[in-house]
Amino acid sequence: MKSKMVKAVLFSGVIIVALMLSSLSDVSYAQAKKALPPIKIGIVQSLSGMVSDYALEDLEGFRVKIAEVNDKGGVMTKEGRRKIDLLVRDDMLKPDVAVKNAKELVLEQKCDFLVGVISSGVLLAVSEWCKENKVLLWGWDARTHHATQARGHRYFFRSSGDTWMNGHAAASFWKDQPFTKWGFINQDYSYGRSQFESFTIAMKKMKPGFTIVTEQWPKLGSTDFTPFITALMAANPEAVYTSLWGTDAMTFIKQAKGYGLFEKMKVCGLFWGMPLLRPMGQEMVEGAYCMTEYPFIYPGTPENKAFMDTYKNRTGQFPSDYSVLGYNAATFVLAGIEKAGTVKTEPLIDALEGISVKTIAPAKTITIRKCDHQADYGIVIGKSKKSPDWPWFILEDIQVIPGGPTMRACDEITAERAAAKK
Amino acid sequence: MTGWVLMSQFLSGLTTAMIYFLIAAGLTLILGVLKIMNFAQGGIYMLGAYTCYTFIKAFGGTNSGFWLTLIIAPIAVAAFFCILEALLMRRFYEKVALYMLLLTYGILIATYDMARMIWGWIIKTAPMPPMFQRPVAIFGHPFPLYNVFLIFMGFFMFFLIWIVIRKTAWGKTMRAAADDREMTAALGINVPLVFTSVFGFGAWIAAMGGALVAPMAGMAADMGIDAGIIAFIVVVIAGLGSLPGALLAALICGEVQAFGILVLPELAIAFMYLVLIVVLIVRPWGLFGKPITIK
Repeated sequence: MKSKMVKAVLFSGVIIVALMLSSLSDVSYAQAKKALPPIKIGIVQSLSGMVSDYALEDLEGFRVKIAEVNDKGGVMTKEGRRKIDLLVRDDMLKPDVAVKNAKELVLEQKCDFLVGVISSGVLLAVSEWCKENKVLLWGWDARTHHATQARGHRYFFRSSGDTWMNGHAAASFWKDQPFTKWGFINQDYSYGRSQFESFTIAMKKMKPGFTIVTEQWPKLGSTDFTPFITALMAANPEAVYTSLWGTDAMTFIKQAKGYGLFEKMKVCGLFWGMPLLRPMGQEMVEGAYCMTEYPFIYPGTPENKAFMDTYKNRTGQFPSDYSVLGYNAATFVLAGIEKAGTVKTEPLIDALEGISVKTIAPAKTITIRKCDHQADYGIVIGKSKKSPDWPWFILEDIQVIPGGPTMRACDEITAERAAAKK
Repeated sequence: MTGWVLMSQFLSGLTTAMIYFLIAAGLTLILGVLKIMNFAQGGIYMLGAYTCYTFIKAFGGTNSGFWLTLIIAPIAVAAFFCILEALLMRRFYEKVALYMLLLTYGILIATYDMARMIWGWIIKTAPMPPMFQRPVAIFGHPFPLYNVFLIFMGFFMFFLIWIVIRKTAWGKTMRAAADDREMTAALGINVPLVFTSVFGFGAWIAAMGGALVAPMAGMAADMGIDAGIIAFIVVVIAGLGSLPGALLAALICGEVQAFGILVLPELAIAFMYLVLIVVLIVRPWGLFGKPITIK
């Protein structure tokens, strides 16, 4: 009986102390109440698995920009300056998990809008949910062109380029080269399929005599590319177009080197920029045509240098195209909030349509097109080369391909969306 | 289709097959002797690859460093899993099979987080040892020397495991403990110790597989999950617990895929599963397995 009493006393003691502590914070909250509540941005991103490091770079780039603004007291709205809180959730590359995250962030955590997604498959699922629930989703990376074309809608914006633009940009370069027999190797999922579609549609329009001699479809995350490499070489293409990324790109390059593939044919790798060159180090191959949105040391502008330094100080690493995507995404949403003066969905969307911001990356400004909410993001192409100054390969003979001309015509998109509704 | 195209496709299928075999062999051993479906097998393979990466880099990417790594890395990983087996898994052999499944699955998830914590998020690749950086000429065409090495190692490992199981005293004890646990214990043999050693051997095989693959592939913490699925498919096609079955199953899967993509590249993702479906329909107990009889 005695121990029961002791327990009761201790228990009530804990309750009393807890109540006292909470009332203390009530006091400080009352004092702090003069500051406006922070804006809550929900972030859904694939932080696990083979896409991890790209995904984290999107996030870090975004955080760097948000930190810049928070340091000044927050972003300016009609009510005054409001700081920004980021709530981050891992969708594990799974569409159903992403939708669950979106629901939790918006319905439970009361986020004002959502940002994110790196996986195309995930994007289509989350975008659908946001459309049904009238939640603004800002896409910073996932590229399937369907998300702003046939399956686009009012509530989705994208500040990165998309697969349509990537393919057409690549074609605008390769149409001037003397190669007509092309081989393809892409991961068999939504992104790989979209990239293949986009480049082949563009080349068929722009390059007379363009033929697909072989298309290979390895599974995402394949351990072994050898049979795909030999099948690719067996078809004797003059050039190979690939959107392989991450460990798949690494495995492909390492294994293909041994077969002398890079000597036999030209290889154009989409998004073979820093996120690949850096981990590859000296294992990379020279003379590969790498397309990337941010080729490290280019452009050598003061804004780029400042961004590189801030990013390096904050994360300990040099930024990559993904960091820039995150940074640009934040630049856009902040500009939209300032223009609209609010984070309420409908006025914010109206403010974001047609907005232009100054950016890091080859183009000086990027604009969000009104008809499809797609940014006119450019891309560069260069050849990989060993460097005496850096532990990773760099790009030489860099050519900038502006985004605008590679976008699909607005009326085509409107027509496609109307057809999809039937 | 020239002769070289067929030959090179056959050899590349052989490379894939050896990788599949190395991942599956340990699983089939553990399944056959310990009667547990080790969901963590893919995770062990992944840790083998990462550990190999660390050692190769620590030894400066040299040839001798590579050989040393192949000796040390798989043993280090196997030792870790021996300890795990003794501490955690030993308690579950006598319990309901479901608990052991959950445990190995939990270990798999834990290995994934372990890899991320120790080696970080960024994808990696182990530097290719200098001696393998040149191709060898087969019928006048370049073929990566490392692939030749891998194929050789696959067969070598098969014979090594076969000899250990069939010809050594340890192997005999393993098989006895697998057949009749109580009787073996009654003969004075420390059965828990035997089980730990079997698990350790199975882990060593998987880790060796990972270590051999490390210089020829990129690595991410989730590579174990894909490998684990492959291991299961191979083991089911093979017949649970059969080592020669595992080799044959791996060869079938590797070659079906290699030749399949010459003819139907669109179905690349499906070939292995098609083989599995056919086997399950025609011979559900696997190629070398025994049909279950009701006693």
